Amino acid sequence: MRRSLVILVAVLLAAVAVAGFSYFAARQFCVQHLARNGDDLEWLRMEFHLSDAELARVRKLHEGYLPKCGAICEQIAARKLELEAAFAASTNAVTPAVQQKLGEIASLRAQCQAQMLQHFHEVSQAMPPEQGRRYLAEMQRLTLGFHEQFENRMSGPAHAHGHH
Amino acid sequence: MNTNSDFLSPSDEQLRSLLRESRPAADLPAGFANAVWRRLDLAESAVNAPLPVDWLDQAVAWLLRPRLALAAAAALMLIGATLGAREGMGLSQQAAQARYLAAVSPLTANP
Repeated sequence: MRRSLVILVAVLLAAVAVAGFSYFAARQFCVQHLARNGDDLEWLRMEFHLSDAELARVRKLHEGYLPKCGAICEQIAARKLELEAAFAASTNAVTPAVQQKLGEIASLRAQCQAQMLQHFHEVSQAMPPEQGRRYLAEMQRLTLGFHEQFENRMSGPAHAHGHH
Repeated sequence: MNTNSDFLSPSDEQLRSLLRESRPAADLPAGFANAVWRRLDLAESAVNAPLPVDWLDQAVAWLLRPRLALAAAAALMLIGATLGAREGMGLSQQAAQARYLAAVSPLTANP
């Protein structure tokens, strides 16, 4: 009886070990082999089943978009530094100079977002219609949805004015 | 009640002895009877032997059958590898998506 119990426990442990080893080995293999490709567009290829020709069209658009996006990001970074300086100069008071910098940053962000949405539209046009629609919806969800979530959190009950 | 032997004539008796002689029995090997009794005893003891003491012994005996153990190991490996591959593909998909998103929408990554 005791011997049987020992054997049963050993069998169960061996089963867990076999299943666990297989699970982690396969998981590691997939992570390493699928993420090995350091291409930014790998996700598009996998998720939207793009052919080489479609991927080449998307890549051309992507490579055309990145410098424009980078230029606006540099401008935003520069305005942020200016904002910090203006804020420090005003001893942390919201002066008209600070407000002006905030407005400039907001305007640049809006410009960046508009440019990004335009890029998504162009990329969706370079895909097969169904995949393009799915791409556009997914990208809008991931980018605009992110801001919506943020705003919803901020406008939630914890941040509602007049309830304190 | 009469039996067949009641009606046997002396000639029948002769016929019977002739028949017996025409089919000579082979000599049995030495110790044949002992071997037979030994085998009978063994068979009897196997029939009367107690079954495994309880269900655990039976379960372990069942589990340790090579064919079953091999099949179970293969099934566990298959299930583990399938789940692991699914998880791995999901993780790499997420990483690839984050990489693309960071490239095209830096504001989402760094608001």
